[in-house]
Amino acid sequence: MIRELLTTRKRELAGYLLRVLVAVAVLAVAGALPKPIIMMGPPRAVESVNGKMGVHTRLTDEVEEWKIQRTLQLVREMGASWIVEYFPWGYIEPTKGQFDWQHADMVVDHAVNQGLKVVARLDFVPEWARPKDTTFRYLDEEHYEDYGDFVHAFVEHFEGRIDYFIIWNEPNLSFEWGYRAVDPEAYTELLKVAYRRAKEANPDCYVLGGGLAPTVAREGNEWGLSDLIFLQRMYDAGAKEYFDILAIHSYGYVYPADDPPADNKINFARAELVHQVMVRNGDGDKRIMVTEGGWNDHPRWTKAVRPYQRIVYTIQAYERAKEWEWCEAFVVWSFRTPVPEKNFRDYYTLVTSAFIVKPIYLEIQNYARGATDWVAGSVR
Amino acid sequence: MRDRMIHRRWSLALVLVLGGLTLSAGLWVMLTPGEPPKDETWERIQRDGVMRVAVDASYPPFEYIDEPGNLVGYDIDLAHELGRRFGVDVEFVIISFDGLYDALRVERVDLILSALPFDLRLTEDVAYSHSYFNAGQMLVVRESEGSISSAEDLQGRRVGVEWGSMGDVESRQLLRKMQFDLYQYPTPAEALGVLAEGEIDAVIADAVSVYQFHREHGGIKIAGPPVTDDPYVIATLLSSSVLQERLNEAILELSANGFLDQLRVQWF
Repeated sequence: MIRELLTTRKRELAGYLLRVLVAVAVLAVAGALPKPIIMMGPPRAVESVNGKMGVHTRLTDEVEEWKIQRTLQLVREMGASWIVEYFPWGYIEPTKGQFDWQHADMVVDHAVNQGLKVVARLDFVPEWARPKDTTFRYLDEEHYEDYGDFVHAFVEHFEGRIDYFIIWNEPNLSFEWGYRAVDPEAYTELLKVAYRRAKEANPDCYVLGGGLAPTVAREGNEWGLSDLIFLQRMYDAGAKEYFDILAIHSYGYVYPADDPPADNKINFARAELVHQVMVRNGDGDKRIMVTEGGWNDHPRWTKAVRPYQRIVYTIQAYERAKEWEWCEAFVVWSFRTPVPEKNFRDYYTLVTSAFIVKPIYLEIQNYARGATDWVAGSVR
Repeated sequence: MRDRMIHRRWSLALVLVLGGLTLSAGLWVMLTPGEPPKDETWERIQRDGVMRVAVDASYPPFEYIDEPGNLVGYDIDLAHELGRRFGVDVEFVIISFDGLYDALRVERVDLILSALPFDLRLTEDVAYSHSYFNAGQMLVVRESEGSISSAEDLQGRRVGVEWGSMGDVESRQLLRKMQFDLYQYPTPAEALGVLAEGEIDAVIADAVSVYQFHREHGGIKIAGPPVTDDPYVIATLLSSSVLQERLNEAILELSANGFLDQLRVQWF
């Protein structure tokens, strides 16, 4: 009886032991599976007939490294030298003084390896730097120095890899100013803090002011303020010495790239009116970078054009940027999104989320490679 | 050995008792008449006699402002029909596309009916109705065509698209696995016109363009299943379960009784 019990116990123990061994083996094998290795590859250079060509990438929420790399390869292969990318403050500094550079480093290293010039857009207020129940665009004056600290840390961290930094995004829209009335004077104060801190970190960097949205909203409008008026008030508040390049957004909507500008109209050439404001303020030698712009080809959106028009207008806009000596670059919104947005915004992209290049991408690529028949060959 | 037998019997008894209890509890829950689902949105709509519908009025022919300044379109008529069925008036709240979901979340509106594509990413935030329209890319042939019934039959054919459109993108994808001649035109209407004249064999174009051409010119038909799907749906809050149920019932009925077809003919 006792012998039987002992034998049974031994068998049970042996069974347990066997299961534990199998589990350990499975875990060991699973843990030892090699992670996908993304090879950086040799440094590449952009080849293009137009060095002012840029695209706004959307890699902030792109998780997989191969997709980041593939996106930036496609940008280079298209012939664009510039990318604008968004680096949210709240993602990088979730706690005051503690920085997580991992994702930003990954994006920037791949971009630099592809020979691209990176323009970093810096905004998105972390929760710790704003009152409860405010949006991530809300930054009050008490926290300007916190933003300045972040700008300093960012510029310092990326010295040698990024030279261009956009301070905020579309501050002339209420939505982008935390749903408050827009305030050019307050924005200028923020710009002063950011400029000082950026230059402390890297005196050779370029600080881009504005990121102004094109709008014809007049004084008192609850949603925003004309970019032309906003810029004048920035100058009046002493902004001139606190930015190296002015960032603006320039969308064509239903008008061609050569449609003449007008105060009460939003079109691509509105950039010329912005430049005139700069000239009037003795700042005409300073350059403008169009950090967002372009056309949309949604089949039914009233602010969209036909796809063939988008192709023609976009290439014409790249050409115009080349002619505008005061224009540093024209950056098309947007290259690709990590997932389809399932609305009209998908019709701004040049490449689908599944990495299928759209015809507009191929036409731009032909243009960048020197094709001269892009207008003649297009359907007008 | 005897101990083990007793142990097994006790275990079996325990399993049977627990199983019985679980079964009884399940039957209790199933057979007890429960509270009807509570839906504050539906209650408010019924109480006020008004259903608030969010639209972005910049997507003709689904919703737009016509020359006299009226809000009109396929979705507008559909919303009125839903209101009639629910016995309430419809109040349209015009909001830009970017703000539609926010307006629903903060309960400024009861639903979104605005050429809204189904978005899998948002299904944890909002509830979507059955689809009432598929705006995807269609394969179109002449009415008399009998040998092309799907994209698989395009081998060796002449295919037209709007240059740069998603139909163009899809056709280039098809070219990776078969051979055909691709012709590009400035607009879908021009591609469809050339098709009707017999110069090409098929066109890939979006559904609305196809329906519009068919209404104005005829002579074409859709061949086979859609090349891509882009279902339009109605969005409500997840908590609006009764409203969602009523919307789904209505869409099924309006599809079955031909109302949605009538709307399509009227607007496209």
